[in-house]
Amino acid sequence: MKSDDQSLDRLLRSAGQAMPHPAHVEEVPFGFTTRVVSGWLAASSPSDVMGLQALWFRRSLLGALAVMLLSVGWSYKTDVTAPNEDMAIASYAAPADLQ
Amino acid sequence: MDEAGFDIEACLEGLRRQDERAATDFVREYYSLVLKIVRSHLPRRTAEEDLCQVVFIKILSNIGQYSGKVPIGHWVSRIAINTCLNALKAESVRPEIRWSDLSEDQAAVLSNLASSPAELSPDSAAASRDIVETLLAGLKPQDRLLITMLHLEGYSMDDVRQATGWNIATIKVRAFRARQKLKQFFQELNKQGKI
Repeated sequence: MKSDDQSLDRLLRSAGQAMPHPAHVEEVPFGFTTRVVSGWLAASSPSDVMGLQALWFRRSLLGALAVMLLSVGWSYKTDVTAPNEDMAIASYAAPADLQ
Repeated sequence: MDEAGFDIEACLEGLRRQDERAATDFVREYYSLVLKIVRSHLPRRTAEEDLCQVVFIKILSNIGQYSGKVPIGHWVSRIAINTCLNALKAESVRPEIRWSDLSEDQAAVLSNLASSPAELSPDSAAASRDIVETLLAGLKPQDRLLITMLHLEGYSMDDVRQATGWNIATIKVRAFRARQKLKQFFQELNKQGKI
């Protein structure tokens, strides 16, 4: 209805007079900037933590690989130098039997 | 550099380097703009300072995404408005509008509107604002934002387009529907008053 439209317009115009005026906006509250800056730095730090974790993971992986290669090399070396002749085995077993 | 000596380019460069001094200058420069938006579109149970803080942290964290295609003020406004809209969406409770919940002043304003075609007196502004706030609480966040900007703050369609990033056709359609919904709530409230 038209009268409802007009009444609503008058209500809105009246309410508009009570809106906060831009000139009434006050200064930045005490401590506000510090909170924002620390929040910002804290929000941006997770990526650093992730980077640190990735670096740590990469180094651990390289360390584990190095240990594995050393183990393989060591077992290859013992395989090659191990006595496989019957006499050598008997000589190795004899002291064990004496015990 | 603007009249006040604030160099936005240098400030943005500093923010990209995570310079705290640049962040402090940026907050001081845009605090009034953000506070004005937050105050106009504040959810009922949220403190304006908390919401301002969320807006600024969002802006500073995403400063790398600012392309410079729109003025920085518009970009800041859009982030502030979207943050308010999300906060309003999170406040999912839509209060029922009842005549019995109105104060004496508010009931007098509505009676006055029904009985006389004259403009309301300036003394009624606060009561009118409370009534409109109650009616707006029943609208969707985007509709509420549009009614506030167009009818209460006196923004033009183009101002709304710049502040929100929505196109004019969307704004017109949405504003029309929002206005219809608001009128429906207003009529329901008036009907209760006549009973």
